[in-house]
Amino acid sequence: MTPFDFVAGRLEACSSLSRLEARGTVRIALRNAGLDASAGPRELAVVLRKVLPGELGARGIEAGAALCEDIARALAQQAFEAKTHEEGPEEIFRRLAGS
Amino acid sequence: MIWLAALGGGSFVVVSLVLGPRLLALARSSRQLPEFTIGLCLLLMGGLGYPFAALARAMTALPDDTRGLMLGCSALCNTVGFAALAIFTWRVFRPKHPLAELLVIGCIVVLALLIPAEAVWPGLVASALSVEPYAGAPGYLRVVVGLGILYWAAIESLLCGRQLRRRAALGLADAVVADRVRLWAIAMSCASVSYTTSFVLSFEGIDLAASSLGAATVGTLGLASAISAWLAFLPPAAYLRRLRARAAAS
Repeated sequence: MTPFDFVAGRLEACSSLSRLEARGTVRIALRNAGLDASAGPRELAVVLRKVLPGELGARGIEAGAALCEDIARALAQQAFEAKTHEEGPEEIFRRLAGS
Repeated sequence: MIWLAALGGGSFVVVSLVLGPRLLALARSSRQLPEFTIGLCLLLMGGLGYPFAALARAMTALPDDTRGLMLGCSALCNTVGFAALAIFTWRVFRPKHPLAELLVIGCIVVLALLIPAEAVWPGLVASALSVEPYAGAPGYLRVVVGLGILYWAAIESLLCGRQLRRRAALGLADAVVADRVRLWAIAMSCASVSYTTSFVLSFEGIDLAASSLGAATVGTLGLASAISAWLAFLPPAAYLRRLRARAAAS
């Protein structure tokens, strides 16, 4: 299970959203944060606290912030298979100015 | 307005001659492909290819063979430079996309075939003596392939820059790096539009020096591209301080 699957599954279980709606909402929040479904637990925790509550509010879900905080806490307890680190544009461009 | 075009082109040459070797030196120590390809691209295209072509056409007092040789050097520099830019864009922004890999291989093969084709049709000396900047179909085709590579680099870096700015706003990316990608996107976009303007003017048979609007466009974009590349890869300490302060404040 990936961090994205975990968060979308929890959102579906704890809200009135269907599986498709929950996954779609998390995807939109990730996109607004400049991420995609391959985001790690650290990135997802930030999205849960700073972006997803707004998306849930826009969909008429009450107490979205509290729900997201609960999911973020559960996410922190969960162990995920470590991803092999792949160098992305951020790492490459960091090196290019010699910084 | 030709002075503005000269200023824009000249500044881009100077910046490329400084940044290209610097990035190649960085590649020598890091042994990484992105540093090598971007360094090669700046040095060969901006630093050598462009001045070689400009001198071959402008220095009419030189022997025809010398002018032809200079134009051949320019074609070679631009070909290798465009190939390096395509490899950089693929490896940095789309490393896992087979279609991108295929596209890069296709571009390199076409560019490699166009050098001998240009030497034969119309011939390097004939091309140097021609009033047209890109004499013959191979010359035009090389510009079209090069423009495609430039626009691809611009689009990928614009998209990546937008993603990184969003991440940086949430504290998930370094604001300085996000700004560096944005500056590279500006440099590539300006270079693409400037190159397109030169190409369209020459295609329409309009001399750049005779077109105020064309010269102003090419000059302004060349200058913007040079400044952006400089700020991206050799940023002054004051610029970095201002960036970090702005990121901390937001």
